Amino acid sequence: MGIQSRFNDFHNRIRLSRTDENYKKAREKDDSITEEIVKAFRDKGYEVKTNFLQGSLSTDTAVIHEEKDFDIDRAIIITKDSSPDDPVEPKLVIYDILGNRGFKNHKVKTPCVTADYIAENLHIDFTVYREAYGSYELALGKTHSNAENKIWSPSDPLGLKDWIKENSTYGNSADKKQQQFNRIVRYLKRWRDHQFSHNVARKIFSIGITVMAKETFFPVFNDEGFPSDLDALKNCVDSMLLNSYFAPQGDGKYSVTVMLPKSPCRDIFHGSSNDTGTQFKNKLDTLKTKLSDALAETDEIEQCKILNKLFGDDFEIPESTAKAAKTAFATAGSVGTSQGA
Amino acid sequence: MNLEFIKDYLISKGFEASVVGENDSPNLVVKFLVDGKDLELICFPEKEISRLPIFYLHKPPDLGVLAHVNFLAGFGFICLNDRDSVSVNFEQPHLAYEDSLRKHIALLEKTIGDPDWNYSELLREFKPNWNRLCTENKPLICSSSNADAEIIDILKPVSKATVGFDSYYLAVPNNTKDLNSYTYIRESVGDNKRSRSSEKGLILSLSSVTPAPISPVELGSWYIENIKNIEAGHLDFFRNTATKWVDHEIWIVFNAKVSSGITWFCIKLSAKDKKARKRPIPLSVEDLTHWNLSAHSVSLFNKELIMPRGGAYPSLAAKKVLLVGCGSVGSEIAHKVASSGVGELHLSDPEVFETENLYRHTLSRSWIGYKKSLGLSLDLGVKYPWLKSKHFSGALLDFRNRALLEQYDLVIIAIGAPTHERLFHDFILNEEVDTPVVNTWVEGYGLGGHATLDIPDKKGCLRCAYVDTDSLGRGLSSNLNFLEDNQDLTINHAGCGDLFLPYNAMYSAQTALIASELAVKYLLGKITESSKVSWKGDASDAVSNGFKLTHRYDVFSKSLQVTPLHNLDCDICHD
Repeated sequence: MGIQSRFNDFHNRIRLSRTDENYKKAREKDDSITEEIVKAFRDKGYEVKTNFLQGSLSTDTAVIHEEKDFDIDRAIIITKDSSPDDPVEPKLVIYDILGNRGFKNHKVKTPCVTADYIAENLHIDFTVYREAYGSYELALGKTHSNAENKIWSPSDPLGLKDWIKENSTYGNSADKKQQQFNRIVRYLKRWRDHQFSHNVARKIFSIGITVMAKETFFPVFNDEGFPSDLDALKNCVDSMLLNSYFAPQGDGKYSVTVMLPKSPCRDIFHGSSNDTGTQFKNKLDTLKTKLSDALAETDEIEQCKILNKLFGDDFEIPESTAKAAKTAFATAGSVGTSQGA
Repeated sequence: MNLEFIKDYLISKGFEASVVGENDSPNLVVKFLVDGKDLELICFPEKEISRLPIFYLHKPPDLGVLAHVNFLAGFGFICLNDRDSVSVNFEQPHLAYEDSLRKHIALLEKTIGDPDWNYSELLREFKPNWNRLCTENKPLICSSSNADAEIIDILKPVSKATVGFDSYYLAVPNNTKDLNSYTYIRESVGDNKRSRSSEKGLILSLSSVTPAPISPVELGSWYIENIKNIEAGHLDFFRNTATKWVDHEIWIVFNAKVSSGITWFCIKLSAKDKKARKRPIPLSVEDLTHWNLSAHSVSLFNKELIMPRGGAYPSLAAKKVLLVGCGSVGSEIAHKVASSGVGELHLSDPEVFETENLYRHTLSRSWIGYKKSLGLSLDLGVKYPWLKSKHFSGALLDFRNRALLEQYDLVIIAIGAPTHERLFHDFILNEEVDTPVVNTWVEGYGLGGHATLDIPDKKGCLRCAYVDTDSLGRGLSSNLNFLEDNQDLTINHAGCGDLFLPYNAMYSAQTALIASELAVKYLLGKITESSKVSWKGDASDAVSNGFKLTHRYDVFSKSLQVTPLHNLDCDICHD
């Protein structure tokens, strides 16, 4: 086995998709709550146009957190014609549904309605948009916000998702290169979860990492068409540090700024402290150094030791490199090939 | 051609040049001195300089026999060995004339001024000089393989045959009487078209030889002088034959070692009076009075000569290869592997040759309706005289028989069916079959082709070429491919049974070349590790048809290079 295979194993341990067995309960909750919300909205006269996954599950960049908690991140879209002037009204409908279902800490936050289902380590975010002619507006405002803070704000939830999934510039094998990007984002998220205290990690937003990665990533594959995630990750981190995300604030402090590439094009880290920016920057510097060390290391076990320290025990340190690669059969029933004679 | 300009130019370079002759046909004459002899070269200019200008030795004094100079009607043609590969400066004719002139003079200086060199060159050029004595324009084809002294049967050409093997005299020694290994001769003799002549001859080796005579009238004296040089080991045979054998016609096929190799030539002895009593082989000038002598050229027809001359390897004569898949790629492989000198090639394919196969298969329309393997086997038999070929109708999976497979030195699979190839590979692994396997396939739209060589007990196997690039587990399609999986690449002209992958004969041939080279280099021992090789073609057809290419296509830069097959993540080839 080579180091890429170790990365693959690591990735298989940390990746999360909606169809995973360990996401089953979250998925069932998601489906059930969504169904109830859609019905309640209809009863209220809101015409539900559609609903879709948001966040990392929708972009195939979700990770299993070390604490094994899961997110539900769903958008409900109603038509603009049927929407109330007050954007908080539909959010309160959701708030009531979550409350009736026994969720703790359910809140109407400015961009969404959140709740925690502690027994299942489940964190829920529901957002409401209204749509007309392909344009979306996000329901902003809390229960007791004044009128000027209760607004339907232009937003582009699908545009962001599409931007993250965009791979037309990757050339041939674009899907495989996008998959490498997805893995890089997952590695960075797991690095964040492992390297930062919980309190800081939650301030280094996943969407911030994802946008930074998307803007700096370029695929790395060897001459035989096999991916090299270690090189790609190292290049990505190098570029992040060279980019203008971190601005010195004196005394060795840094601010962090990452702009959403799509409407509303705000700074994802707006309001973040310099401490957050500084820690983020410094740990990225360390990550860069350690990845360089890993690349320079010729012994696979030593490489794994370095990476284990960066990512935690899900990046396993093998006892011996002589151990046979585990037989992994193809998961497809059949594949159409270009092979003839 | 401005001959005056060329003359002036040559004069400016120190030559004694002049233009002579009539205004409408001027010739260039150059005089010079060699070894105290005044010589004169004359050139009859040609309208176009398509080769080095030719200078003839004109009115030569008595120079004796000169190597590379042939005299005819007072002119000596000087052979400069001006091969087609010499590129002449026809845009600057004066330079071409000067260059040619210097070469002519240099050769004459050497051949006249250095008698030893001249003699050795005459020997080295023995064969062409001998051939000039011959009146028959076709050589005697002799199948001797080892120059043993022996009696030969002379088989006359088929009556009225003017071309082809049938139109040649054949000399068949006793040691090649087993005609089964001489396809051409067997076919040429076997149909009884050749006359059952009683003419016989003998093969003799000369320990040394004098230069070929310069004219047929000297043939007799040359013969008497040179039979004194019969090799010691052949002398008893010759004396016994010469004293006991009497006949009206006797062919003596000589061979002698000269600096350019072993040269073969023949003298035919024909009795002047066929009604007189038969006579033994002449041994003296007096004996020759009863005989007419004629010179004949000899063309050896043995695998020791013919195969290396055509780039084949006699060392592969004992190798036995199984080729499964006789389609467009397989048929090309069959020819290439056969041309390498492999002794035995077994072919198998269950399919019948159809009209639709014509343009990308080596078989001709004569074989429509026959099994591809049959047609190919017989085609190969006609083309390659020392090849033993057999044909079968089995599919690859029918060959899952360890004992059967281990008869072969190599198995080549050209079926383009990854499922069967992987199944077969599983069998090879599970049964620990000790026979190496070459797998090869072509991709559609001229994008490329690939071949792998899987040598048992060596790092690297077929599954290394199937390690999935994402999961690094076992893949269903090869990671060597240049086209992404799951694209509808086939074309359908006439319903489900007529799906085909579009590629043309050039692409199947190119793929066959890389596979054949891999196979032959393995058989020769030049490749000892499991290996792979790909060729990468132009993507425009695939792209214009909207097909997706792999990243490997983008970065692949080792077309035709043999590289290790082993993949670090192959679960079969672990340490």
